[in-house]
Amino acid sequence: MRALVWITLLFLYLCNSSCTLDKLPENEGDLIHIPFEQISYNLVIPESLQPVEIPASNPLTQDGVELGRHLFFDPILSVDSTLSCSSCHDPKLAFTDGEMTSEGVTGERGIRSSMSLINSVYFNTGMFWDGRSPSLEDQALLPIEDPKELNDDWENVEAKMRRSSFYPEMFRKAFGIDDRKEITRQLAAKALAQYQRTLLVGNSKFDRFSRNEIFLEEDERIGFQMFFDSSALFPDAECAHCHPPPLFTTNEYINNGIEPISDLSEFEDKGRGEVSGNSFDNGKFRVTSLRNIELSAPYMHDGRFETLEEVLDHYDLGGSGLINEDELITPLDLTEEQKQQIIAFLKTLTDTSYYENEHFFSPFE
Amino acid sequence: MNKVSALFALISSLILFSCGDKEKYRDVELNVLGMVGSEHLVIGNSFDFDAGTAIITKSDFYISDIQLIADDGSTHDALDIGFVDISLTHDKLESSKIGNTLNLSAVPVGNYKQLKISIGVPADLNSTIPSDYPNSNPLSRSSHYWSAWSSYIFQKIQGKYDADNDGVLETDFFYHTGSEALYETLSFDINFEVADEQGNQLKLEVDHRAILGEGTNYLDLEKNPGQHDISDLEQLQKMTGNLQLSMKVIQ
Ligand code: HEC
Ligand code: HEC
Repeated sequence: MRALVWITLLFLYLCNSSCTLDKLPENEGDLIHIPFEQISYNLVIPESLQPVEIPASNPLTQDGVELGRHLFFDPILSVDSTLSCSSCHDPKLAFTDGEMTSEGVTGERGIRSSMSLINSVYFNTGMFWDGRSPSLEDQALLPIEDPKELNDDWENVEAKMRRSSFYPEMFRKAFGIDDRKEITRQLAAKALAQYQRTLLVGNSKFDRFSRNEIFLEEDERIGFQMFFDSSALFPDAECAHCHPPPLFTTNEYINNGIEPISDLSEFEDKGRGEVSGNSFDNGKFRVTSLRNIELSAPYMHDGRFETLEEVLDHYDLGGSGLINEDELITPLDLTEEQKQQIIAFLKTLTDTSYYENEHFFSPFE
Repeated sequence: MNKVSALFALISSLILFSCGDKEKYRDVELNVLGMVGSEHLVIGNSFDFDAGTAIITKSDFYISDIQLIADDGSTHDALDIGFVDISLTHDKLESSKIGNTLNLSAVPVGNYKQLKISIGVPADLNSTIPSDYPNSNPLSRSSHYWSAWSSYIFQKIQGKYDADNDGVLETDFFYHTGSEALYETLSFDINFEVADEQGNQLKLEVDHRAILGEGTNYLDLEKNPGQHDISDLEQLQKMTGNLQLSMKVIQ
């Protein structure tokens, strides 16, 4: 009896999927009846962040952003429908995955740690730890075909989106296409970019302190003073040179001295040097934002540090002195208490109020 | 028909006449080249300095209030503020030869006798902060704002120094200037024609050895390698004092 049920179900499933394939309406203009009106998306920029610039070639629209949100959380983008962008960019972890390096659909791992996507609209010096991709639109094309990520191919993903029961309508509403054949990877990438540009977070305890709305606890305040070198009473921790507000990054490519080697040729992961072809850039990686850093352990491009304590221990020692290590990586002589105070300050950069905003989370749940 | 062509001739001559009467404008490229003496600066390549050897790893500055003074004494305001990122463009010899280019748009055609520039951010703009600006504005660079001074960082020079020439660059130096006291206005005598054609160009060469000082006004890279503290301006004042001598305009 049970077997019969299973066989019937299997039969129905097979029939259903082949039927959808067969009956795929390929007629030109099959979406024309769906209204298309571009309503611009009202992006609310937190007070402490900068004005936003959106490329004219991909304006934010309500339907574009919503399509991007669906694609971002939909495993349809991976070869076996097991992983989505959100598998490695979990909203609860500031859009990282909590792993040292990320595991793709095949179980194979890449060499780098996942990156936070919060406030990525401002990352204007290139995407990824090494900046090899120029824009969010370009970046979004890459994970799908990366064997260590989603391992699919775009033609297949395009076919899946075309035969979906809801994507054709969403693409129509977002981009005004006339029929489902016009669903392309480029439009999907545009939608993903639109969605990611809306992920703004910037009302942490630090921000409220900056607006004189609250005070910091004593430890946080002393941490603040060392971070910004604003008091002669405490050591200068040099952090703000590379991690200044409002984003707590400069978006520059820098060697911050984490690799204990003595020659530029010894970097296993050349980082920026691979992209620029210049050995003086070997081992330089993009300075990342420290907003919500509490949520995105482990740390650095290869996730080598599990905790903020380990990060502070590294900076305190002052690097390895390699020729291209930044001059501001220098022994700090911090006490254990001072390291904890800087960590207390870093935690004032956490803002989880977006946990309450369903827009940051999956539309499928 | 005759009347029509007469009218046409009249109108076109009027247009021609009025155009001819108007001032003409052309863009001028200000091409900034990082140098070490007469050689092109390449980030990370060593050069002689004082008794030892130095490399530059970072060099950039804000340039502001660029003015061209015409032969008749009139002043043309050519650019409010720009940012010259020498490190970014001087990573290889080929790119160092190209340098950075700032565009001075719509400069009246004519002859000019002086170029004025300032290194830094003028007071009115220095009261703003990076988060006031979108990314495309040079003043959005949070890397160049130091909140403890409430000032933009006007100029950064960083590098490493081997004082005893033993092949080990043992000293890391970094000089970051900022605050009104270190805003430096420079002027250069030129004899420059902005011609009524494309391709007007001025070259500004910035000699990094001279910024670090030679002989009299040199920065003691060994004893005072780090300076981003405006309560102790001595080294930084030396550096801004060296700017005029370190820059020259080539036409
Ligand atoms: C298997 C895990 C994985 C999946 C799936 C994945 N990513 Fe990533 N993502 C990463 C890793 C790892 C990096 C850093 C890679 C590097 O620097 O080389 C990254 C980097 C990025 C960046 C760069 C952020 C920055 O600050 O420069 C963006 C944007 C991004 N991913 C978006 C996406 C989107 C959109 C998808 C879905 C189409 C996606 N990712 C799927 C792991 C993943
Ligand atoms: C000279 C520039 C520089 C200075 C100074 C600096 N950092 Fe960093 N920081 C970087 C770079 C570059 C990275 C990314 C490096 C990598 O992943 O290889 C980074 C990464 C980090 C990370 C991990 C970010 C992530 O997403 O995993 C933390 C946390 C951090 N820094 C905190 C600090 C603190 C705290 C200080 C002061 C004690 C400090 N930094 C000083 C350049 C700097």
